[in-house]
Amino acid sequence: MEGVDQLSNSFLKPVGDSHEVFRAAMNALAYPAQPRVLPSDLSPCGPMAPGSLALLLTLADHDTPVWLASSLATSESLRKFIAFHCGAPVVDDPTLAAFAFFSSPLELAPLARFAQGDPDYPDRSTTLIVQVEAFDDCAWRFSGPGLSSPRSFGVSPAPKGFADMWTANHAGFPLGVDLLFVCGKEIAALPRSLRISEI
Amino acid sequence: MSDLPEYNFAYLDEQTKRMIRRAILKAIAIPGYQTPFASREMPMPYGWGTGGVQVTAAILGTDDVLKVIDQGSDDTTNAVSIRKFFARTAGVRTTTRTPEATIIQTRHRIPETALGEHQVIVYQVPIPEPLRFLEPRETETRRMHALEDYGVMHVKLYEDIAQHGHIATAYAYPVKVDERYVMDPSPTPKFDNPKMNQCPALQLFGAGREKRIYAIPPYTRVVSLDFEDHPFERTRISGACSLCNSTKAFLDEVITDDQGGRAFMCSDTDYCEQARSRIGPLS
Amino acid sequence: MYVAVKGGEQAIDNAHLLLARDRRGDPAVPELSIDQIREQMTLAIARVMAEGSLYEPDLAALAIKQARGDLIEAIFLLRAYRTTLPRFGDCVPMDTADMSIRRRVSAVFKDLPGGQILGPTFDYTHRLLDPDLAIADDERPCPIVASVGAEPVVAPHILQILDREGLVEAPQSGVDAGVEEDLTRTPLEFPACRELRLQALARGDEGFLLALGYSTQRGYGRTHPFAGEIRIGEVELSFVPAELGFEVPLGAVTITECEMVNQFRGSETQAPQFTRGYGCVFGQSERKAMSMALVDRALRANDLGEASGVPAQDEEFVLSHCDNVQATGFVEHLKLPHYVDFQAELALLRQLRDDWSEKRIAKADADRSAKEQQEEAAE
Repeated sequence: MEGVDQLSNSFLKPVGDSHEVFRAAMNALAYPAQPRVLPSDLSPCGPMAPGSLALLLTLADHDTPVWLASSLATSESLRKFIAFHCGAPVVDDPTLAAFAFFSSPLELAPLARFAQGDPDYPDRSTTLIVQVEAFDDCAWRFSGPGLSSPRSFGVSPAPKGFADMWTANHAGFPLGVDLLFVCGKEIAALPRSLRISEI
Repeated sequence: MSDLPEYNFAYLDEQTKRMIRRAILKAIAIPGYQTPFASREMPMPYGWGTGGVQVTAAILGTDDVLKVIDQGSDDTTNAVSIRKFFARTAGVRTTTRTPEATIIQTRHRIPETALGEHQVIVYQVPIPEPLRFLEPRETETRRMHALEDYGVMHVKLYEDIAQHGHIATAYAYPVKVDERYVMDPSPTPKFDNPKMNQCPALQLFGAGREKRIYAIPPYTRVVSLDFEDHPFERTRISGACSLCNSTKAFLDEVITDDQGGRAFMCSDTDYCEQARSRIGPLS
Repeated sequence: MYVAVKGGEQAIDNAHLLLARDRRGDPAVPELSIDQIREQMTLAIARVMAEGSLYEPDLAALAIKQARGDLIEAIFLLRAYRTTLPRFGDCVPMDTADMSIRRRVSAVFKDLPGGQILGPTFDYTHRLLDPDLAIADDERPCPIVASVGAEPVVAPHILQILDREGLVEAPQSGVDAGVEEDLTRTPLEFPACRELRLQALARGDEGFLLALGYSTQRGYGRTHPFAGEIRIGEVELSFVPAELGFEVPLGAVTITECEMVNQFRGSETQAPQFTRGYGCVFGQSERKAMSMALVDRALRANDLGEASGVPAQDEEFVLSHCDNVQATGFVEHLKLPHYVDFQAELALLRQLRDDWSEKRIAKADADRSAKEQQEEAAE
């Protein structure tokens, strides 16, 4: 990503922009498994897409350790971006992470390596933010809170055995991880409360 | 003397908003679970809506239209005070019309007008723990939720039936959310409980003093606790509103004279006004 | 026909005007200045700063004036202001052994290194109203303090002397480096560590802690306390900015520190020794620091295996109820309208009463007919 000044690659209106990104993420979780607009004027940083950067700036700070998938962890410019713009510590141990970032859904497995929360505090879990190439609506069928009727949703590239992974993730409810998928200027989410069936 | 600060949009600083926003996302992902958050001291007293105010401040944007009600009314003093606070610190548009609002902050009522997908309702919660009056210790109630052990609650409701023939809870009537967590709906009358079930709007609950946020996502099953032989009953004073004639809305009782004369009128003032503007004033 | 009154907004505005008028009082009497409050109401300032968790005498004075002298209201004002302040980081832990001492007493040794320093205390005043104070300032000579208390003293802690002999438990080093917990930034969780307990107590209501500390003296969780040392004075604070990497002085704060020496205990592996209770607050407030030390020690009952279930030993009970801003808010919120809930209760109560009457009538009927049958059978 030559030519992009990463020092100035940040929200132009920090209060308004982070609000819009948060509302997109909130609505994505509230009305899950359906893509919605994720506003972002950021430039990419290394392998990290603007949408993921926008979520990073909106949600992460000194209090939230961040874990990077290997495709992202090697990017020096990304590490500098995180240190400069949000101050979040980057950790190697996925169980310590509040947020984990992926440049591809193929890196997701296994979900159980991340913090699942504990029975008294199921909120102490990792939120996974995953860049995908496309959303499609035929791979899996979801039902549960946020959906008035079962809904088809999928991502590509599709991780092998995702339905089993998600079944296991939901089976531990209220423990488990939540997924936020980012595709260009769109976001879709899978909270742990959703049940899955393959079509 | 040091200069007083210029307050951020919607009063809270961005770091505080991030912390609250993270808690809201977790609350949505775990429906009915009380997510701890580092509640801040707000410029209004604890117990007067600081939890609701912090949730609203964290989700509010410049395009939002805010409605604030207390006891169903837009004009009760605390509703006025909170609406003024946001008009001043966020400069957002406010309304009393339920359908026009994108965010509704409420204390003790759910509007009679059905909510839609474009809306978020934020409840002010005094005691978020539905088991608190049965077990005062947080360490104990937390375990009960973890183990899904709600025996004490069923025993309490059953004792009510044995003693009174009814479940003697008229407000803050406990519910089970998506078949997992027992949740306190905040001190709304149990008349309002069915409105929470499969509601198209996102429902957020903020308890400032107790430092908890919880949520019911849209289209989520919310069941009022009951027994097969004593099913949940939605109760309402029988009678009509003296102003709009409604026989469906929840009514407030008003003492009209020294002899104990009484009249009834809608607790939801916007609903009542709309009904009146449709039918014209009653003679 | 009764019509619901509109006018909440107007009522609030009027209430604010009336409040401003009553705050000012008789306009013929000169208005209090912030400087006067800060200089002459120093112990009120100390309490507001301590329980408001913000060391700023001018703002505390402003808060006291704005609150019409209601200290809990002033504490609330300061807390709400504190919320909005940016946080730059944590200061370097202060060492109270470096304190410039203005007052220091120990009840456990007659004399000690550094000496007993009585300082500015009410302790030996006779509580007789002083008519001289009612005379205007300029007609009364200013109190002259000759040689006493001119030079602040620096002295080691007394408990250190006992510690050297192993007679008292070593002070717990407490916080792990780099993991400073802060109950204003993370929600309190039970059981809490001692650092968080102390933070909660330092912010806690003086009256509540006083009553709890007193209850331990009267047998509700007795700890056999001795006032090992109470010291009041100034301590320097410093801060290490990340970009500089060295300590920068921030200024001095006045604090009151109390170390209680409590009943001893021992075990197979540990020789008997005294235990400790600790209190530390902003400003001069011995009552608060001593109460805090008593309650701190009582709260350690669980760790020391002596818990008996009394209120002062109950961490959840003490920490959940010691904050007066929380408590006053929730108690006073009962003033807010609750008529919807009351209506729901009223409807339920009427129903229960109707059911009760019906049952009684039914029972009376049943009794009567049973009696009649009996009489018939007897005939």
